Amino acid sequence: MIKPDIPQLDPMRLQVRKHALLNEISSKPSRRWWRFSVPATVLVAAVAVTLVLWTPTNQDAYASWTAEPRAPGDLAPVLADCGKRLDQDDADRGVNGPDWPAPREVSVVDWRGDMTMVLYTGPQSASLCMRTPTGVAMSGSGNVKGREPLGDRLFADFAPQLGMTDVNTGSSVQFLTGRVSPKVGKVVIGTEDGLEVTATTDNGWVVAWWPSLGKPKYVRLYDEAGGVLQTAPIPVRVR
Amino acid sequence: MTDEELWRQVRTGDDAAFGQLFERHAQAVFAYCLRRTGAWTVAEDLMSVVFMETWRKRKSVTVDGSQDWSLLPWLYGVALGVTRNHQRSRTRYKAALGKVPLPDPDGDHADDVARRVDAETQTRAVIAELEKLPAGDREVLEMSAWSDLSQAQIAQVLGIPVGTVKSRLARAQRTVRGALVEEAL
Repeated sequence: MIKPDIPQLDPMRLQVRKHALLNEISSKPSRRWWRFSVPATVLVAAVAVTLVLWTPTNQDAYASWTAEPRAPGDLAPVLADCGKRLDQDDADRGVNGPDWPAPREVSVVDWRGDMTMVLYTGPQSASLCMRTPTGVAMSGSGNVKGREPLGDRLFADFAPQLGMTDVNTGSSVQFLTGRVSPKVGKVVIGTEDGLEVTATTDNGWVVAWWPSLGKPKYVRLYDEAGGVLQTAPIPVRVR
Repeated sequence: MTDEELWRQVRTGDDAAFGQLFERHAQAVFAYCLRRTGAWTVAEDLMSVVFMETWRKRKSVTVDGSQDWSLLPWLYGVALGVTRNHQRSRTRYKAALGKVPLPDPDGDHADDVARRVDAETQTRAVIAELEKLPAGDREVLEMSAWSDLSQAQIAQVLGIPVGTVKSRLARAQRTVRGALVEEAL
């Protein structure tokens, strides 16, 4: 056995380390966290998505889009790629990146056309990972001190919604994320330009995207049996 | 409370439960870090880094429902990573580590200093021999000799099959057995 005698840390020293650790993990985030979180997030997401989806060799990135999600594929490579981006967010935390821990819970995965979206959620934040055959983009938001309960509501979307247009190709895309009651079996988003998009729901979360800048106009909610529960105008926003 | 019960509380953000897990496992993590690095103060810092990383990634650690579930294999896995890249790990947590009060110089008696120096000297002699091994063999041997983990747990920590643990361990033991007799046995 390779066991040179290793003295233990002095108990007092151990307590010093323990208290320093607990102070560190319970310390409050700086005010800077509040000030820059949303603008920086939106900016980063816009740049990244443009790079990934509208490169000159990828002008028909949305040709394969469908109003209904497609059958799920192999999730492992998607999570591997998205995980690297979250790791990078954590590595850059408070310096070049957001000042909150990258969320790690996979709440819902949307398979649609060439793009797979994974919504990660955590107690203070949410990150939407968008993966296409040409790359990965990430849009995150944080600063939520305790998420507002959905309460009796059947559906609530998140602000800000993310939408953008590429000036070279004119291609546009709009994303929606939100929360949904367990009573709801299916969510259809109607847009200002006449699309009806069946969102993906799981674990009380909902995500969808569509290839236009048409804002979401209404949501139609169905129960598991296919009966309409409610049709409501959007936005119905929460934190 | 068991590790499993405490960990379920930690996952909800309970830092007091995390403090209990720290008290339970910190010495083992410190000893592992010291044996990997051969430097007392570095090992102390890395022990803190291991727990900070574990807190940061608490949502990634799930209880598998097995009997006598322990956080220790996960901690060893993190410790392996941070000792592999210990300079980078310490740099990343520089601000937090800088807040840890230094040991009281009046309490640093000569006996204690000698104890540390002896430990460092012995450990470095062993490390010098182990560095002759391929990295994979070395990590298996270290984990086997310096932790109470089973071969199955070591396989889990290192992300390799149990058969590979066994073959690497046998090869490493054949290589170092003679060399380490004087320094470590």
